[in-house]
Amino acid sequence: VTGQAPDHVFFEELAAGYALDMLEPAEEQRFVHHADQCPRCKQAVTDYQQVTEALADAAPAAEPSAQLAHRILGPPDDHETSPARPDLHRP
Amino acid sequence: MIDSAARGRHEPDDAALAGLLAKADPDALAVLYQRHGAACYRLARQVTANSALAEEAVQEAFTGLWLNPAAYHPGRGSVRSWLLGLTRHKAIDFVRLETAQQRRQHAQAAQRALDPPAFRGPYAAAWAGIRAQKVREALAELPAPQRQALALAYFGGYTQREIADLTGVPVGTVKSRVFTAMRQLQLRLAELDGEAPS
Repeated sequence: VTGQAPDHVFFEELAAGYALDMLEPAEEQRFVHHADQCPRCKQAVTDYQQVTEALADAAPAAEPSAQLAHRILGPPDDHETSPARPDLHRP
Repeated sequence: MIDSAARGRHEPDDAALAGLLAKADPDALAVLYQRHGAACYRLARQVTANSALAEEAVQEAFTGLWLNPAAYHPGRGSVRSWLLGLTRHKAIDFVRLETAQQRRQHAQAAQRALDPPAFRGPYAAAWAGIRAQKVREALAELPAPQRQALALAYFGGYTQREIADLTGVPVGTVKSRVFTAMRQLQLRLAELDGEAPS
């Protein structure tokens, strides 16, 4: 075991926290700086992101209203002729 | 309709659809919404415990993608993961505007979000598929403190320091709980995808 191993456990912990977006800003910066140069940590983030996706699927069933699709995509009849008009600038 | 539009283009994958958004193709946005809108809403609903705020979060995520498709980089994960992340951020922003008392109530609800009873009854039907089943089993097997730390982070939007304060344990304990839980879940998923060493 080289001196690198303990370091890497530390960064792997950070990778999990990073995927969950729960790191404090300084730690996040440190991790991003490291992961930029570390394929193993990049892979770890990708793997943990798949876990967070799975957690999202664990949320209880709920359906958005049909109006939400209309607000995002525009009126149903309009899809072919005009792009969605996102309503981001509401007061 | 959206369905026929998608079929007409031999069901492009999400990455291809994200590329089409750069050309301001509204059908691409419609198909992405059809594929991921409901999952984003479920997540936002769990985070905010409020239908209107949840819809607002989903709307902001999708319109954000529409207005700035270049913000999505394929190298940083799937479109689904990106949309879920964006939705979650928006939802957490809304929750952070709540009063301290509302936040406390929220924390209590968030903490229980991944506990096994949630998977019995009406929710079970909506959470189909072998992959989901594996995650469900793995979540149920986690020690409760690990599962709760995970739920507070993901659904509650708390940092590790906040979770330490909420649960009365050192930050280091929160870190190791979350890491162990994430690792366990990741191994289960990898097993399922046939990637794990036997």
